[in-house]
Amino acid sequence: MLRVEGVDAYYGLSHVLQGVSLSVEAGEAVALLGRNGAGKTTTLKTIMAVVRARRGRITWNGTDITSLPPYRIVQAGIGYVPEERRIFPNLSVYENLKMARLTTDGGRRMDDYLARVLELFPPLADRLSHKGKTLSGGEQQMLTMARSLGTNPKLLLIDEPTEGLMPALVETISRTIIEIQRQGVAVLLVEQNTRLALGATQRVYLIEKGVIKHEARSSDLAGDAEVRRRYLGV
Amino acid sequence: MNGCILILVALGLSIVFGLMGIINFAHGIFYMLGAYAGWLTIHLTGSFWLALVTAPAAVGLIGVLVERGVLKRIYGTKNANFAGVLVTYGLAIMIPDLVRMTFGRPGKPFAVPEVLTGSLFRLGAIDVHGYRVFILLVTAALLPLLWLLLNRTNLGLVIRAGTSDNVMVQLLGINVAQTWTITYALGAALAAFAGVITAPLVAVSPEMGGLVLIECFIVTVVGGMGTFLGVVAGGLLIGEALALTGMLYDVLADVVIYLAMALVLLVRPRGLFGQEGMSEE
Amino acid sequence: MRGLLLAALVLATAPLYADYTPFYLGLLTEVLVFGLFALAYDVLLGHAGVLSLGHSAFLGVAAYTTGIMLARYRAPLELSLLAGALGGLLTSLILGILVLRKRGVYLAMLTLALSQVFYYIVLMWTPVTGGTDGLGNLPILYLSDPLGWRLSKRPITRYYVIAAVIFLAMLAIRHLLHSPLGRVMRAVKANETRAAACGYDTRRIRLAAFAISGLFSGLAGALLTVVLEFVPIENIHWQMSGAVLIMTLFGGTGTLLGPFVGAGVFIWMRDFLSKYLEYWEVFVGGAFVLIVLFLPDGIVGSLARLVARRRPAPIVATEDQLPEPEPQTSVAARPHEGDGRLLESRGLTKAFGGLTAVNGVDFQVRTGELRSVIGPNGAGKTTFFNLLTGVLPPSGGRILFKGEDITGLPAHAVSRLGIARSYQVTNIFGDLTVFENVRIAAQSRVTHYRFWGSPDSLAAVNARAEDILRQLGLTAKRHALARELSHGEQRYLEIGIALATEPAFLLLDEPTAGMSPDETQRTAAFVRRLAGHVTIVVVEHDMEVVMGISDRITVLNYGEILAEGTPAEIRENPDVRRVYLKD
Repeated sequence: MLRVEGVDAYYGLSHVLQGVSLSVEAGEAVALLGRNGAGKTTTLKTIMAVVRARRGRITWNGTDITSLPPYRIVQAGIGYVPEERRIFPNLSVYENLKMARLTTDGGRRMDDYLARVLELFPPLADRLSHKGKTLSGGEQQMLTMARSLGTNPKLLLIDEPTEGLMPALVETISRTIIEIQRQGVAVLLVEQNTRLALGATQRVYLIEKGVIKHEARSSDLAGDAEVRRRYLGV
Repeated sequence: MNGCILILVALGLSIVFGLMGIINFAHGIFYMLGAYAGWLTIHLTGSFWLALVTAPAAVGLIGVLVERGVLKRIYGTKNANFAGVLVTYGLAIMIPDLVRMTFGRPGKPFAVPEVLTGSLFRLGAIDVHGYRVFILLVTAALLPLLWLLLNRTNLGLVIRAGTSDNVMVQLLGINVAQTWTITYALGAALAAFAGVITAPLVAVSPEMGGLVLIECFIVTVVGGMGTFLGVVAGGLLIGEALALTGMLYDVLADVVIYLAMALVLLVRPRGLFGQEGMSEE
Repeated sequence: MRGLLLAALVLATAPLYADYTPFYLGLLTEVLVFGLFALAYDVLLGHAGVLSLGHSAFLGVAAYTTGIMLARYRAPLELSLLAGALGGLLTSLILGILVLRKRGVYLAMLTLALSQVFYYIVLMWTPVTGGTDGLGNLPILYLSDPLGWRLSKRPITRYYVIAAVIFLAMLAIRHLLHSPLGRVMRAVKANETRAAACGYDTRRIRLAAFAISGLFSGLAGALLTVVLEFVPIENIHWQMSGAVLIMTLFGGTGTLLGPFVGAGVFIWMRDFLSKYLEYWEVFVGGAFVLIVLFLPDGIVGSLARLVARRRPAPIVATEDQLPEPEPQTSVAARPHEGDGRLLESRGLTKAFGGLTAVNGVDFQVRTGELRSVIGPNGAGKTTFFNLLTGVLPPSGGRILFKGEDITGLPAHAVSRLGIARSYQVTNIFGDLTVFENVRIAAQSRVTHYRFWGSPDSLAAVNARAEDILRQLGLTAKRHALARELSHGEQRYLEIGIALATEPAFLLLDEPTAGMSPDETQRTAAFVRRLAGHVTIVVVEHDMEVVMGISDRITVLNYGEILAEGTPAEIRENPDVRRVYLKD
C-alpha cells in the first residue's frame, strides 16, 4: 500500500535519510526502530511531506504522493501522530477532536466519532471541555492519537507514542495500537520501547544513520538479542 | 478617534497578525476604502443602511485580490514577515493615489443619516449625540458576533488552531491557504465597516487611513497582541484616553497615547492582557 | 579605492551636467543629502539587519535643531550643523533603548509609533518650531571665518561645500562599516544567537548601529535645512520614514552607491514624473511593490550581482574527502590539573510548565577530561547544554565554573568566561565567508566596539583564525561563503567557530550529526586530539564514537543522571541497557 523507494532527505545540508526504502501493506503493523538521530522521525515526516524528499519516490496505493502538500496526503488516507503530540493548547479537547473531522464531515457527526474515541480512551471523557494545555502527558498522547484517527486514515504513522509516559500508560498505548489494527488501519510505528514495538507489530525495520540496515519479522527480532544490541544498544 | 472604532479596526489587524504573522500596512487603506465605498453607495442609491453592507463586502473582495495576487508570493520566503510589511506599505502608497484619480483630491462629504442626527440626551455637561450612540450600539452588537465567529464556528476554530500551529492544521487535512484568504478578507471587511461608520464623523479623504494604522498598533501594544480581550480593553482605554484629553487640549491627546504605549513597553512588554511570547517576531 | 576616486570625480564635475542652473544644482544637492540619509538608514537596515520605520524622527529633530540654532540664536553654521547631527544621535539613542527589547516587524512598528511623538512635539510647540507652517526666518548662511563663503543664493558654492561634507561623511561611514565594530554588526545580522554565543552583547551592538545611523541621519537633516533654508514639517512626518525606506530599497541595501541612486530615482519621480503624471505616487508605490517582490537587491545591488556572476568563478580545488584535521598545541593548551573541577552543576533543574526537562542534576567535569553525555530521546541533553551555556535560565540549582557561580548569566557573558559550544543543527554565519566566520569569533576576545581602524590590523586575531582554518583543513575554502560549504565542512566550521573563542571548556552537541561513516571517524579523531588541550563535553548518539573517544560517560534519563563511569562500566551497566533497549 505504502511504498517508500530510495528516498533521500536533508535538514539543510545534513543528509539525514540516505536511500531509505520500506513498505507497509494494507492492514499491517510495521515498526521502525533505531537509536536517536538515526532518521526515524525524519522518515515519517518525509512521508507526510513536512520534510521534502530530495530523491526517490513515495507511492500510496499506486499513486505518487512524493510532491503532494501535507493536507492532500492526509486527505488521501495517511494519518500522522507527531512525536511532540502538538495539541492545540488553547483549544478544548472537544475542539481538538473536531479539528480532525473538518475535512471528513465538517464536524457534523461528532457524536459517533466521540463515542468511538471514548471507547478507546475513556479517561478523555472527563476532560472534553478542558483546554489542551492543561492535559497531562498521557492525556495529550491519547488526545493526539484520537485526533489523528479522526481523519479516517487507512494508514497511521505513529511517532514515539510512549515517550515520557508512565509504564501503566505504555500498556494502554500498546493495546490501542493493536485495537487500531484490528479495526483495519495499517500502522507504521516509530518507537524506542523495543518490547512494545515488537509486541504490537508483525514486521520491523532497523535504521541507522539514515540507512535501513535490517528487516525482519517482529517475532524473529524479539528472539535475536545480538542484532538488537548492535543497532539499538550501547 | 472613537474607542469603538479602534476596537473594530484593531481586531481585524490582530487576527491577521495572529494567524499569518503579517502586520498589514494596508489595513488603514481598507478602512479608507470602506468610507469611499460607503460614499459611493449613498451617492448611487441614497441609502446609508445599504452602504453598511456594500462597503465591507466590496472591500472584502479587494482583500481577497490583494491576498491572492500579492501576499501569496511572499509566503514561505526568507523574511516573509518583513516582506509582508514592505509590500503592504507599497500598496498603502499606491491605493490612495488611485482613489484620488477616481474620486478627486478633496474629501467627500458624508452626512449623518437623518434618523440618527441630533442630540439624544444630556449626560451632565456632555451632549450625547444620536450617532455616537449608534456607533456604540453597533459595536456592542458586532463584538459578540465576532466572538461567536471565532469561538463557535468551524472557520474560527481553524483560525484559532492555525494561530498556534499552522503545520498541524495541515496535518489534519485542512487546506490552510483558503483560511488565510478568508481571514485576510475578513480583516479588510472589518476595517471597511469601521470606515463607513466613522465617515460621518471624520473627513472622508484619501489620507484618512494613515493614522488609523498607528493608533491600532498602539491599541494592540497596550492591550496585548493576540487576545480578543486585549484588543477590546486596549481599544477602550486608548479611545477613552483620546476622548478625555481631546476635551482638554486637542493635540495633546495624540501624544498621551504614545506615552501610554512607551510606558506599557517599559513596564509590561506583552501588554495588559497579552500572552507571553506573542509579541516577539 | 578606484570607486572612491571615481565618485569624487563625478561629484566634482556634476554641476557641469546640470548646466550650472540654480534649479538643477539645488536638486542635485538635495539628492546628495537624501542619499546620505538613505546611506545612514542602510547602516541599520542593510548592515545590522534592523528595519526601522522611525527615521523621520532623526532627520526631523536634526533639521529643526539646526534651524532653531540658526534662526533663533544666530549660531555659526558649523555649530548648528553639529548640533543637528547630535540631535539625531540623541533621538536615535532614546528610540533605540526603548525598542531594542523587541525584534523584527514588531520593533519596526514601535519605531514608527514612537517617532510620531516627535512629530507631535513639533506640531504643538508652535512658537519655537512654527508648527504646520514650518520653521523659516533663517539668516543668510555663511561659512565661518577663515573661509567665510556665502552659501545662500550661491548654488554652486553651496553645492560644493555640501558635496564635500557628504563625501567625508560617506568615507566615515565606509570606515565604520569596515571597522571591527562594523564586522560585528554584520555578524549579528547574519546570525544573532551565534554572535551572542561568541561573546558579543548583541543588544548593545544593535544600539551602536542605531546610534551611527542616527548621527548621520541627523547630519543629513541638518544639511537639508541648509539646502532648503527652511524646515517644513513634512521632514518629521512619518511619510519621510517611508520615503527613505523606498530610496534604500530602490538603490539596493548593502552598497555604498545604492542609497544615492535610490535617492536620485525617488526625487526624479517626485519632481519630474509628477509634472507629467498628476498621480505619481501610484508609480512609486507600484515600483516599490515590484522591487520587494522581484528585485529585492535593488537597482545597484542587482547590477552588482549580475556583474559578479559574469566574472569566472575562482577555481576551488574540489576534494573528494575532507582533509584530516590536525589540532596543534597552539590551541589554548591547558595542562591537566589533577582533581580540579572545571565545570560543576549542583541540583540543576529546568521545568517548562508541567514538564521537568532537567531534574536536580549534579554534574562535575574535571579539567582536561573528555566526557560524553548520552541518553535516550527526551532525556534532557540539549536542555542541559542550554542551561550550562546561559541560553536558558534554570528553574533551580547552581552552575559553577572554575569555582565561581555563573548561574543565570546570559549567553554572551558565559562565552566571555571561556565556555564555548557547537550546535546540533548547524548554526554558522551563513552569509559571511569561511574566514570571517572564524575571525569574528576570535575577535570577540580582543575588541567588540572599536569603530576605527581595519580588522586587518588585528594581527593576533587574524593569525588565530588562519590557524584554526588550517587545523580544520578549510584554508582552501576561506573565501567561500559559509553556506556554500558541504555538510561535513560546515560541521567542522561549526566547531571551529567555538574553538576560535579560546575556550577553556567546550561543549559539542552531536558533532557527527548527518555525517558519513568516513567523516564521522575523522571528526571523532579530531575531537579526541582536541581533548588534550581543552576540556570537552560531547553529546552524541553514535555509540562507536562515544565508546571510542570518551574518558568517562554520563547517562541521562528523564532529566536525571542514571549512571556515570568509564565506557567499559557503562556498557556493562544493567540499568543503562534496560533504558536503551527496553526489552
